[in-house]
Amino acid sequence: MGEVLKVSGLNKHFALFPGPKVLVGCQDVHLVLGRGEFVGITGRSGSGKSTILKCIYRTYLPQSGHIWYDSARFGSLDLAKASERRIAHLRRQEIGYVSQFLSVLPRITARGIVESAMLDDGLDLPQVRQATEKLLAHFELDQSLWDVFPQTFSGGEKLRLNIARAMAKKPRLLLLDEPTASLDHESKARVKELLVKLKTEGTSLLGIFHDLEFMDGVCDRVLAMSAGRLTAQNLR
Amino acid sequence: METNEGAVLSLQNFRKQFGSGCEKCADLDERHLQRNYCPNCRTTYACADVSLELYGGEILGVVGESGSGKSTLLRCLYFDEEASSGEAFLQGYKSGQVNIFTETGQQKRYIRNYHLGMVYQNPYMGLRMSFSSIGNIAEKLIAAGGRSVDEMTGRATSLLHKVDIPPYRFLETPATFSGGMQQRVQIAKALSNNPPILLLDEITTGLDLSVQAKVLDLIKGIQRELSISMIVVSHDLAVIRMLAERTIVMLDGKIVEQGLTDQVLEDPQHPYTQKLVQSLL
Ligand SMILES: Nc1ncnc2c1ncn2[C@@H]1O[C@H](COP(=O)(O)OP(=O)(O)OP(=O)(O)O)[C@@H](O)[C@H]1O
Ligand SMILES: Nc1ncnc2c1ncn2[C@@H]1O[C@H](COP(=O)(O)OP(=O)(O)OP(=O)(O)O)[C@@H](O)[C@H]1O
Ligand SMILES: [Mg+2]
Ligand SMILES: [Mg+2]
Ligand SMILES: [Zn+2]
Repeated sequence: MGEVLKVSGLNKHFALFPGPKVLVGCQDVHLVLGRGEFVGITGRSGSGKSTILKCIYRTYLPQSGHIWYDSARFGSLDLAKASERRIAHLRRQEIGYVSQFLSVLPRITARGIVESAMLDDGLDLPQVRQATEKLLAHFELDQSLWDVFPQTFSGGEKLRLNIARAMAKKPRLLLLDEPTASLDHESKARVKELLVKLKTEGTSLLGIFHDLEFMDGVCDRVLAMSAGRLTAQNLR
Repeated sequence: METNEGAVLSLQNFRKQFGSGCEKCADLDERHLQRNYCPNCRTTYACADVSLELYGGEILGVVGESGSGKSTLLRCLYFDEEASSGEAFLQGYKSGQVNIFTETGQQKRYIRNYHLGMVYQNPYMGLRMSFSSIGNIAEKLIAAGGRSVDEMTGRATSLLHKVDIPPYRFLETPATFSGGMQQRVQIAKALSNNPPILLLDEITTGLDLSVQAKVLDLIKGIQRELSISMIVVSHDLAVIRMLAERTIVMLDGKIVEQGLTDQVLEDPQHPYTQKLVQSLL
């Protein structure tokens, strides 16, 4: 089994201007994600979990370290240093990011959100229409919601739409930043099923979760973070 | 290989000054300006050493406070103002081998008519308020070589439909339209010659929120369907966040930071960008 992701010596801190104040995001992080593997990260608030994910997605620019990613398009490349154009391409085609917040354009329907994710991929419209309906149905989003603006959706509905959007792209790597926070049991179970399905379809996943119970049975390994460092490699 | 090989627009060391300069501000390294302004000779260095690349199908955001040179950048690219120095190349024009800033007036008009579309912050700059909406679009089509009245009317009608202007108002002059409608007519006009590059200057400023959302949806839809490359200038970070994949931050005529939009907004590297982001949170 090859590696999809190999993070080594990753350091990220934040210099707050003006003045000398520096906040530690993460320090000397090493981690490996195998192809088709699902690795969980847990740890206290502020320990640096999101920082790692955001460095991988390049929302944050790390000060040092490497993030080797095995791209279908470009082969092995360091996400910490790759050109913005390549990162933009990977975000469109290979790497998904799901957080608990759904950030979308106003006045775009649930259907439109999933469609636009696929249109980015260059499929043609009739194909996209069909695939979108299949996906929304699969995610058990009530049909009455398909043509509604998601601002008014419940947390669970938003999240399922969010994952549907990420899945529309069939990402090679999916980053999950507490997607289950604030969900009830029923919705969590649903999300869990969907993630398992994604995994069996070949997506590699790296996800932050607060509840250990959720990770049980889906994650192959669980890592723990504390004060910016990975402290334990396998909690399971 | 990248998604789209090569840049559709490449701008190098572009400068624009208003005023002739003097011995106190001639030396680039030694000059003492008040921001972008020489108090001795009253020259404004509106854009100083700006280099950027625009790629196929992407939306590039440009942010910066008032006076930072954003409009000047677009106006020089559209030849409304003459660049003081620097080079600009268009992939679609003479294979990207010729600096368009030094072309003749006639060639510049050609480039404007066939390669570029512009939407001004002020609709009065981009529209003729005494022409009908259809007439405004026809004017641009004629400039781009249109001859058949039927064809031009057809094209204008379909564009006005696309930007959601009610058909019974097609023959009205935009002077009677709301701000949002005027912007949409400007967008239709700018699209009429199928330009590969669209320049958009503060197109949502002054519009109320629901109208803003409509204009933004329209822009996003156009990018998706027609894969036109765009430079979107705005001092509204929310607009940039919604539209732009990459963003450039300008201060006193210079680029101080550029990167993926979420990176610029969430992990700004330059003190000025940090201040800008924080003041608008
Ligand atoms: N964009 C940022 N600018 C400045 N500091 C930041 C930024 N992002 C994170 N930090 C700081 O880095 C540290 C780690 O934050 P991070 O968001 O990674 O924690 P986390 O483990 O995800 O916490 P939580 O469980 O609360 O989401 C914190 O001290 C935080 O304040
Ligand atoms: N025609 C002109 N003559 C003299 N100075 C000019 C002219 N046009 C612009 N300037 C100056 O050039 C600088 C840049 O102006 P510009 O309009 O490009 O700023 P901007 O970033 O678009 O600002 P805003 O956000 O307010 O639209 C300013 O200092 C301005 O006063
Ligand atoms: Mg977090
Ligand atoms: Mg301006
Ligand atoms: Zn001077």
